[in-house]
Amino acid sequence: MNLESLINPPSLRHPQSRRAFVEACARMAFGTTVLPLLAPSTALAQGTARGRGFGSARHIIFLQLRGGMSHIDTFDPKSGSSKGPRGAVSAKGGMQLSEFLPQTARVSDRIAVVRSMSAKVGVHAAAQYLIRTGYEQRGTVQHPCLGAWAQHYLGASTKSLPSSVCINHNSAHGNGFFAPGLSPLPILDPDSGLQHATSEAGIPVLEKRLGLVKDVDRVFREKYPDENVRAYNEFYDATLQLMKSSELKAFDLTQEPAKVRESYGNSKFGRGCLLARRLVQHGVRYVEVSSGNWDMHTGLEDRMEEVGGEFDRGFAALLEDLTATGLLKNTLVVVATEFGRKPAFDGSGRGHYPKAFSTVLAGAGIKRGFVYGATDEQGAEVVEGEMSVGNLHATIGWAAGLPIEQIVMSPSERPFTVGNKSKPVLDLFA
Amino acid sequence: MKFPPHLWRPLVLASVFLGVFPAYGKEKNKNRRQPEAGPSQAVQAPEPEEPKLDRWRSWSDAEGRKLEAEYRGLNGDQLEVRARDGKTYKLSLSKLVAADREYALKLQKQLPPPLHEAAARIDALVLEGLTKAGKKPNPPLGDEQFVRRVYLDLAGRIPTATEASAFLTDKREGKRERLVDALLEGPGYNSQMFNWLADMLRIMDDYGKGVRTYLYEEWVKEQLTLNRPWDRFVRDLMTAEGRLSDTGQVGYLLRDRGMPLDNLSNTLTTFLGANVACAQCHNHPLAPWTEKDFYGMAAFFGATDTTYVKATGMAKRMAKTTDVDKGTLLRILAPNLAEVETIGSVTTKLPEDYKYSDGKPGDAVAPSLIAWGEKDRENGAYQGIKTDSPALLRQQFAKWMTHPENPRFATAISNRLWKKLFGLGVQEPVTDLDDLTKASNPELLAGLSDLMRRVRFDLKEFQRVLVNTQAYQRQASVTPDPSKGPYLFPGPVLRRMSAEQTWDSVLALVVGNAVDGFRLQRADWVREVDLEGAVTQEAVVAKARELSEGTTGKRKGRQGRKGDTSVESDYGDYPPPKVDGLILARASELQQPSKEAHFLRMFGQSDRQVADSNSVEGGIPQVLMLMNGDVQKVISGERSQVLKDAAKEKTPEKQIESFYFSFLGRRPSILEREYARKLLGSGLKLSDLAWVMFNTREFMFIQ
Repeated sequence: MNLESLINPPSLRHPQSRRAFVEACARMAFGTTVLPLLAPSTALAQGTARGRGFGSARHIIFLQLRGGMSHIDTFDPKSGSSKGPRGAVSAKGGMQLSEFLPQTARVSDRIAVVRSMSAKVGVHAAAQYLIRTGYEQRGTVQHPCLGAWAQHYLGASTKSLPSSVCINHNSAHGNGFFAPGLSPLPILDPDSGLQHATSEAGIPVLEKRLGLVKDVDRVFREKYPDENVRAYNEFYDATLQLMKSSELKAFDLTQEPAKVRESYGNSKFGRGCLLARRLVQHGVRYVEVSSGNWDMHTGLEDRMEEVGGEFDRGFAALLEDLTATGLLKNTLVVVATEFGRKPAFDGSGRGHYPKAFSTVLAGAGIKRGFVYGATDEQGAEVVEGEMSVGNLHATIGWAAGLPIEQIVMSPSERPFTVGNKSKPVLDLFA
Repeated sequence: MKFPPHLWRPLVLASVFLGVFPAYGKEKNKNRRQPEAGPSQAVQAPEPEEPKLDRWRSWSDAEGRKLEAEYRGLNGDQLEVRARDGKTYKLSLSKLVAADREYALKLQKQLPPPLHEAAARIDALVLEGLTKAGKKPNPPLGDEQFVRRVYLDLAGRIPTATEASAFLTDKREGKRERLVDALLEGPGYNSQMFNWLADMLRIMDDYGKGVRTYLYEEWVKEQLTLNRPWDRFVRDLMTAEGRLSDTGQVGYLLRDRGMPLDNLSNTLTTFLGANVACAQCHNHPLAPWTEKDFYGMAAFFGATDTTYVKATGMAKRMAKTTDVDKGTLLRILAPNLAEVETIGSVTTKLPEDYKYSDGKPGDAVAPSLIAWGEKDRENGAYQGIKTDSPALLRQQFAKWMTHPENPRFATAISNRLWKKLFGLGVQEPVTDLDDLTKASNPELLAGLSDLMRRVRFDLKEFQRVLVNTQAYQRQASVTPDPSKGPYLFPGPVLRRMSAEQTWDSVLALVVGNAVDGFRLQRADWVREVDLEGAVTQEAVVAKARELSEGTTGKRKGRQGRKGDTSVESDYGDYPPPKVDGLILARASELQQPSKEAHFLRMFGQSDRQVADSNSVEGGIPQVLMLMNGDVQKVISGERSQVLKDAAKEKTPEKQIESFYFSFLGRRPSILEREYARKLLGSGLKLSDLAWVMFNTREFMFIQ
């Protein structure tokens, strides 16, 4: 199978071909044995109108703040009637940030803040789905996350590690309508790393057993030269390769110096950020890191100190670490959340507010110390540069060098693109 | 291990309750609602189902000779029966006593066509398709492959070593047919059918905010035990009315709380193969459906309210004004508030962004039925459909949808069951049957639909016919390449076991066939909080008191449960073993769906968000689990039945043979014995060999 047909299999246009589609995806997922490593991105770039920022991100770290981050108490502080428990401080890069983010304020000359996000979905699960996939949730189709899109177009990003990983939450169908192989590998606890990756028996015994598996299976495999059987043969080879891989230590946080570990803070989110950096360093393309408990209807002040503080520390440490290791040049860091929170502060907390919220991008050719778009004095309406979740996805896809205008037909014969046909916001790129 | 008595319970249940069943739930509903005026009058008593006649009878002829035997079919004057010993006899109808003659004729009317005749007809259609294309069928299937395939397809797991060898050493004639009959009546049949339905219907335990669907799940299982015909089963889902605390079948409509359009979209694709998902938002570019068509269908559900009040807020408020804790309040309130209600008028309107000339945004929509061709409207399904009474709209919709002459209802379920047994639908995808000429063999699909109607939507009987075809009993093909033309079924397609089949097979290895006996029984947890009348604070507090006074015995301890994990007391008096935190009960008797990190999910069990999303794809985390995971440890661990069985054997040869029977349902070849001996000779143990067998492709795939 040649590259062209893998990227846009002609058979996708025919309803009978789900099998072919899935198989093509499985091979993409499993590109190590089928595709020359990283070659596809250059092949893809040909014939695609390149522009500012296109393909600048070799890696994406997607930080998800679950529950809905209050924009007013973080990246879009207000001094009027909607002011929260804390005020604003002047941060590096000439922007104002909430006092809740002292660490971020030190490194904000490396980030671009988007204050003009707007959406219609104000329910947690649905908004979480939207921010993760760029599509509104439907009962009839599952949309892929950006990591799956990237792997669909670009193939695998490393020889022996998965191309997408999600940390602190399950993969929640991240492959969407693509083959399950494109689903991010879930790491539920950054401290324990990859599950079942070591064998109690040891690799030599394992190899002996696998040798016998081949013997026992010989007749069966000869009788059924089946693509799915072969896929399993390849998965076994890849898994053994992974188990033997020196890259496996990418999942092991104990390998980090104590000082580095400390800088990220002693939280699950901070640890997740550190793991993300390690994975990116080892070639993983797409890493999601989740932070929970942002649904601050009550007790906002305390919880911003706690949850917001963990985020602040982890995020700032990540940016500094990526800068120090030189990875920030080709790693796009995104801070995304479900929605904003209501301008009306009742003294304790704020309700859901999808009409206006903030997001942050950094690294990989993104402008530094930049504020894009604005809300009004209360933080209630977007008054400049409105950006949809689709725009955000298209922008990330653009940075990752994906053909965002290309239509992929799902197995149910419906057309989809990265970012739901939205335009990337090129103004964000330097 | 004790032999759990409910291994035989389904059979007894089935015979005792047949014909009585539909009253359950509705009866109580009626009592509760009688004082109220309005919609409750709309609930019609379901049509009575004919009592099923027993196939077994002592047949007598005019000369007084008697033969106790099972009815198999009637062809003209020839009555075919089968005696207990498995022998078939052909009796002359005219020589029987009058009562038996009448009985046989009645049975003929009620029962499907004789098995072999029906199977032969399907075989002819398959062969015709192959011959036309100049293709040949695959060679017939050997007994070893047959026993494994048929156990997996009909009992949902591999046979145990004892079961496999019992079949293989059976020298009597007709043993395949007998095995099929036994499996269809066994507990494994219901279990695997539940898994199959759960994927199709997106069955899940937890609808959020304290709402648990245990009663719905129990209802589905009961229907399977009773082998309730598909048309009646679906009709009940469509017309259900009541609460999740008293009427399980409302679980289907409540699955998409307050999203009737999504629910309908799933209903039409699942039960009719109508490709309408696009028409929900815009006219379909390829399929014949317009947005208006979709809304016309939606109007049948326009007088139905599934937007029940979430219990969390109310529980919070009541916790402040009563002395009942929030957890108990939520447990009582949630299922009682989760309700399908019929309201007085149709509320369906065209959406705000409606952009076609045949209507304006906000226009009221009248109920109207879709048709695939103009001739469709002349058939029986479309006759006498009344749309004037809002309260009766769902009944009318269900009447149309489940009518034997509905242009797609029988076809959709036939195609799905064919796919279940043959690995691919005659038409793919099974969710798009709008253009039936796209089927790989349209005549076969028509023949299957015809068979479905003739067996009166009896899914068990339908599968009995299919499994008895030569087409099914042929060797498997590798996954067909769609670019080489349609797949015409020279044999079933080689499949990887489903997640549930894999898990249940693991259990057969570890626990043996006793695993079929563990039953999840959680419905009482919901049923016992049912408030008979209105949901008032007084009623809730009274119920809470009733619960705390301990009348509920050991269930009391479960009040604090989250409801998302099964606990041992959920299994009545026969709890399954628990090893390393794994509950060793079959997939159908565990949380629905399992947690993401569970073996079942890693192997592709659907998350039940999207219909039909069980997957048989592999992946690195899955293989890591196969090689190093907990399940692997359980199989090669001390309490593993398969290891105990092998350890009992005295020679390495016999031990190896025992493993082959257990894992692969066959004897090892001479060469394979040699390989295994080589392994055991090289310092590896029996547990290593168990590891090896478990990690073979032959184990994971169904030939």
